[in-house]
Amino acid sequence: MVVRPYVSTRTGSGQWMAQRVSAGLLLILAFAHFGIQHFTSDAVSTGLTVAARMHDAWWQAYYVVFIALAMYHGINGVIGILRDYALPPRPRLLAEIILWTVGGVFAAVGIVNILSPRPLGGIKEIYATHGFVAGESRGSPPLAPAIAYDFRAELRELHLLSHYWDQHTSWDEEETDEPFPERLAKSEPVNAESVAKVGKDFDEWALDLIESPAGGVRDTHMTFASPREFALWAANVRKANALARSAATPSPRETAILERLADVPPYRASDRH
Amino acid sequence: MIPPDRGPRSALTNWIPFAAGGGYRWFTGSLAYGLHRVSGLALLVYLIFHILSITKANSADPTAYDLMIRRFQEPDFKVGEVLLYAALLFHGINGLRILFVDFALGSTRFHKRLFWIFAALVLVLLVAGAVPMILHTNVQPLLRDDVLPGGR
Repeated sequence: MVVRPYVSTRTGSGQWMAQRVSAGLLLILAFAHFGIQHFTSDAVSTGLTVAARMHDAWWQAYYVVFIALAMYHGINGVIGILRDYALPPRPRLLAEIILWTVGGVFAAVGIVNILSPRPLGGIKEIYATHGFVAGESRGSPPLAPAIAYDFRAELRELHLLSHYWDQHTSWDEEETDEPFPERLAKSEPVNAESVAKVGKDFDEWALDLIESPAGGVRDTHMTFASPREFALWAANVRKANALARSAATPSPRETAILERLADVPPYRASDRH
Repeated sequence: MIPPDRGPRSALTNWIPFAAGGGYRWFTGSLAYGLHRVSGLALLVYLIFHILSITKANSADPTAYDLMIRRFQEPDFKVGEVLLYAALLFHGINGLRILFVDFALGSTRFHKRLFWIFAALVLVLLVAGAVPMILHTNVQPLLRDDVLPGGR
């Protein structure tokens, strides 16, 4: 006579194994995702950088697999916990149907979101037209109090632009003069005058690049395909930000920026090509 | 009826109701079991909110996402970020231990030692990661006022 073990190894063994296989894959996917998003330069996450990544087929594949596996692993885990409470068959079936439906719906929302990014050019146009954002925000879930922010302040604007230049544009160190992050760091103390000076340098650098026909390195895998595209976009952002700042508090400083950039053509998505 | 053997440590916690963990003999295995469930449920709830918040980056106004991400750098969400990191680390590394036990380590001789080795790994990584998180040198450093002396 064959003695069968008391523990159930006959039902649910497929799910048991699938839970472990998905766990092994998620170890890699989840730790890589968390590390990149919290401990690298990608921690500077904006609508523009997220959209740029969503336009990369490899990242899309990564996130689709990640969402599907994480949701499967999570819902399967909850069902495993429920199984420990030994519900009667009908409530148990009902609970499993509800859990898989809820998990499936949220996974579908995430996957559809990843697979249908808005055109990157349109997003860049929004920033170029309206400048950086100012306003109130809650978190998600929106239980915490709202706090107001202003990303248009010139110093923050220059730092963010320098980040986009550094991380989201290809440029040749020999050929292209690194414009402003290092100059800003060197110009101590940081005060209204030194920021205005770096801003002026930046505008002159950008205007030079906009007029250059070649525009340096081209790399269509980057958020900005060339230094020229970045310069045109950034000059438009500077213009829009200065316009918003001078609408709030008019000052000769903002007028000077607007005069410098008056002849900059508007940024269009087609400027990528 | 013979009462269940809850082991020698149960006397310390017998005054706590059993449903709240009293009278239960906590040992490495049951501690890992309980924490694995709690962290797993927390990560599932987080995953759902995370999916919803990322859809904002792909909305008609992507700049709303910029504000939301900035909000996540405030102290209240910073606490949540460290807790999320702790849950992910524990669930992931304890999960690795489970994979070890299930597939590579048939013997039960080393379970406790393995638990403490992995627990030490969790603690080291938690401290190593939480310090830069709390000092917020890692997140949106470019948008913070306090790393930009002088302001505008």
